[in-house]
Amino acid sequence: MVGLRNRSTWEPLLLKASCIKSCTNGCSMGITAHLTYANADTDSVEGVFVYPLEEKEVVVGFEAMIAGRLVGVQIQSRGKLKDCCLDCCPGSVLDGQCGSSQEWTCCCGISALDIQCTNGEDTTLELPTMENGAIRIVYPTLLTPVVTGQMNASKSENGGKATSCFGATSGKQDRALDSEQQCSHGLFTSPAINLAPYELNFQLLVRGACLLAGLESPTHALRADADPSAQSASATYITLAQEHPYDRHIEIILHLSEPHNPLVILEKGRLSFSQYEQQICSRRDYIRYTRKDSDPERRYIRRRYHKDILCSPVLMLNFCPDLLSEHLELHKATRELLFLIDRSGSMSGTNINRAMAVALKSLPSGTMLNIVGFGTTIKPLFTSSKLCNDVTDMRGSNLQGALSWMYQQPMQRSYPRQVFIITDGSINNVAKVLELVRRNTCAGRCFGFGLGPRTCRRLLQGIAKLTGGTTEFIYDEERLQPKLIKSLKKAFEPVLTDVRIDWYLPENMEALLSPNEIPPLYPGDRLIGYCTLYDMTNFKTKKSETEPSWKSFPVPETLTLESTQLDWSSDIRRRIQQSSYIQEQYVLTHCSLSSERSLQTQSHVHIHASSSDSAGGSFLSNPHSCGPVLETGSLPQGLERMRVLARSTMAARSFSSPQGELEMHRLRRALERVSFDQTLGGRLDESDGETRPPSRGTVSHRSLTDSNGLLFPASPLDWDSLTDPEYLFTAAQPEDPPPGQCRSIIHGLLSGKPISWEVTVNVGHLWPPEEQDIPGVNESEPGGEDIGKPWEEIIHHLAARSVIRDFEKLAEKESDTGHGDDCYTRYQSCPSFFTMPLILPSLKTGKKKALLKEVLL
Amino acid sequence: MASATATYGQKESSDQNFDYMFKILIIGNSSVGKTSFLFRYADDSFTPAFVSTVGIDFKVKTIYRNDKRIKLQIWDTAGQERYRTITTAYYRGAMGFILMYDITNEDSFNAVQDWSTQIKTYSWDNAQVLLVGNKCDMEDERVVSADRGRQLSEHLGFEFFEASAKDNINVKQTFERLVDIICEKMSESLDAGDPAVTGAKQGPQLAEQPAPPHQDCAC
Repeated sequence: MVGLRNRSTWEPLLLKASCIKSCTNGCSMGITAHLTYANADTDSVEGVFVYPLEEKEVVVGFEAMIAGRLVGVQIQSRGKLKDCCLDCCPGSVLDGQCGSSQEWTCCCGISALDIQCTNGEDTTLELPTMENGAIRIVYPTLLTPVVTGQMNASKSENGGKATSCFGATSGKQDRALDSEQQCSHGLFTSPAINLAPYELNFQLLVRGACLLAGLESPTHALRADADPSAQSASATYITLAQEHPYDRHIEIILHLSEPHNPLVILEKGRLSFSQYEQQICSRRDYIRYTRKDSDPERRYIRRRYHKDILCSPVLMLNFCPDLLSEHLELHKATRELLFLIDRSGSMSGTNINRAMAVALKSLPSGTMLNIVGFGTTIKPLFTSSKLCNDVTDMRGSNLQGALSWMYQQPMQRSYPRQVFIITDGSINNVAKVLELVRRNTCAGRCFGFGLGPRTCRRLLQGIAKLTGGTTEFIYDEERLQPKLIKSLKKAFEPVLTDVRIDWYLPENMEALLSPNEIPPLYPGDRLIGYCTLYDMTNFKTKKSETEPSWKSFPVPETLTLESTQLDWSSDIRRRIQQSSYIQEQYVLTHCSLSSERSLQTQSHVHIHASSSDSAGGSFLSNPHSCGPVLETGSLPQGLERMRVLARSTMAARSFSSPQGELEMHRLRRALERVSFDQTLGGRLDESDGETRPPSRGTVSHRSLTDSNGLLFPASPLDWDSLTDPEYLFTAAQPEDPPPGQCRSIIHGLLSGKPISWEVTVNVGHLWPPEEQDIPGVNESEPGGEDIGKPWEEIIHHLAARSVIRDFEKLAEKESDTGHGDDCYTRYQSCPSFFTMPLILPSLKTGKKKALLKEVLL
Repeated sequence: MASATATYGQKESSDQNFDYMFKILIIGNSSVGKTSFLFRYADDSFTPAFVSTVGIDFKVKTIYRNDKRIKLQIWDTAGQERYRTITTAYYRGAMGFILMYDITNEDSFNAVQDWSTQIKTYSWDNAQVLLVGNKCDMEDERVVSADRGRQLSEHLGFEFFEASAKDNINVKQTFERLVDIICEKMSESLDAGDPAVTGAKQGPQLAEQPAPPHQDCAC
């Protein structure tokens, strides 16, 4: 059902030529495809272009050329498909299934007779990696449809169910397809076919932060070359070395020379920093804002962070940790296992019970367990997961309810959640369930078990694919047990949990980080983080006295550091108790990212731990605030102790501690002694300016921050160490990084042990020498790489997608928890931001790449 | 492959000041000295430290041959077994190969036959191959005699050199001889109207010039 179709019959139009140009840069990839279709019919036809979107794929442009004319194109999310195609598809088929935004369809009228139609289409996507760190590229099937000799034959093979769904033809129906037909997703996902061979032109440009060790393809013989003018193999062109056989699609595997090292790729923005500054300053609302408001200019800029992604440079961090080389100690593995078992009448209990009993017996002791039966109501065995210690009536399957219940349950630190969904039926809200899972991909890896032929494959496979799990289907008479054990094994594979990324930027830089949730990383998973850079050097902070030593730190609006000495405790506590608290921190302060999303609903201690991950800076500048949060019982002592601890850790930074881990308690003791001495001498405030409450009005720049030129000085590490001592000194901060360098440190826990990786990237060239920076000089000339020119915004598009997704999640969570009333008003300044689906509204003209821009502005 | 050539074609005019460009690959077992050989030729440098090559990279060197500027794009590959299958895409389109073994390492010599098969399988028929026995400065540790090397090269139909990247023996000569062979072959092919010679990115003709006679190394 993919490709260009006749709108009235849903027959595919004949593909004449496919020209695929693509570019990978690290784990990002852009594809521009020019597809030329011909109408072999004698009558004119109206065409519908269907393109199934992968997860993490963005369509950034579409244009159609018909008979040499650029034609107006409307891009619609699939939800609206039935409106436009009401006449051609029986409503019932698409009803209830179309909620997913994962396909987009475009209707374009082709009125001409026998005239070729060219569709140009741009998409960008994030690429998956494999266990060995190689990057796997699978091209969309519609770009290289399989050629079948006869149209009718192919229908029964591939397209039968699809066409029959639309009632256009009544293709032969396999019984096996029955179950799939129930979820009409096959409609859009059946492989593309074409009647006759077509012209194929294929090229892949490979760029990235490290060289290739090689490449291979399970489908085609490849040829790798470099540009004749190139001086090194930093860009490699890959083409097909043999005639395309038309019986397969294209798949390429890239082997990197440093597959398991973190890599950061810099992509320049449309504007240089000075150009951006000029643009901002000439904005009318900026002028109005600065005139009437005494707020710092920076605050205005911060509100534009997510809107100006395309203008600013973006760093993309790719990391695929090598987890398989780590020795797996199963008995030490800590996991949270959740079994969601369909308890509707059709489930035959015995098979499950036996399999479950075996499975449960084999679990290692460090397993937290809960079993949830879902029927019309949700029935958990325990109110929360318990450490490893059976169960058994309802009608209907409320999987959505069970999942929602699950997502509300707090997760335990370093107990990555593994969800086993055992069901035998299909449900009518597949799209809704998938969307729910999509919004919670970080909160548990799902394994699907379909019992019997009626199981909805799309549902289970979709859930598993979204979360990185697997799906097993058990047919009649087959035992569940072996397959359950197999999945259990996978659930216990090594995993990197509590992942956090810290970015260290040059002075006066600020950053918008995304995504704001990082799931646990299993073997073969890759971490992709985006960091959009803003240079704030020339934006004055008018209220500088309120944030003396934090000039470069983005202070969240909600936490203006006024003199809150008196009511700080209740105030902070109230804020923390708001569920939106942490996310506000993430969004507005952005100094580091962690995977600890769930902690917000856990205990206050952990709340603080994770909020300090993101907002350490603001807390540090008012260290009193953490007292009550951490030790609610004994306020005065607790407070003093926290202060001592805080200083000790701060002081510890100046011991340039060696690489690697030191003995924790010894160090801690040493530190406490140091800080104790300091407290006695009453010289605390002199010793470290940055921990001083800013309300005292001191302007001390003699801080580590300034001397190191780091944006986010000690923050995340220090505050983590208060509640999580393992982090103390695990990653010793290197000495002052050379100017113009940006450093990214990834922290995580691997089988209970803290581990971290570091990568540095040079961003110095973002500030061109003065003389070169003449207005009018277009930034878009990356030295001698004009061949790559069409590809200079891939990472920006993906970063924007990621930010949008973050905001969507945030908005949804706020609406879920009911705390969001005030937050909503805050965000209403940009309502389009949340309501807009990713794949967007009507694109009236064939303007290329205008799509994202519209979203962002 | 036609498409690749077409893409490059657009770039020719601007910053290219060469008449021909040859893609050359250095292959052979791990630690025979491929990277050192290349660094000696391209940068005239040598480091005794051994760093196993993983990432495939190339160096560029422009030489004058028959009044033509010929730009060599010399690719250095990883010799380790596990990279063998994933580097074959680079063979395609190469005009010449330097197949290298280490005269102090019998295994690397025994693997020459396999490498030769590898070339025949993945490159085109016109690709020219030179067999090079590297490390000829280490006469004391020699285990492969020059005669055996020469016999094998004759058997395979390749020309043969012994060379040393460390002492800069025959390095330049090897590359220049390879270029000459490629030029000879190219003019033959052009005369024969063989369209397969697309490796030269531009220029329809190469002045026919007998290549300056070169002698095999006899050190």
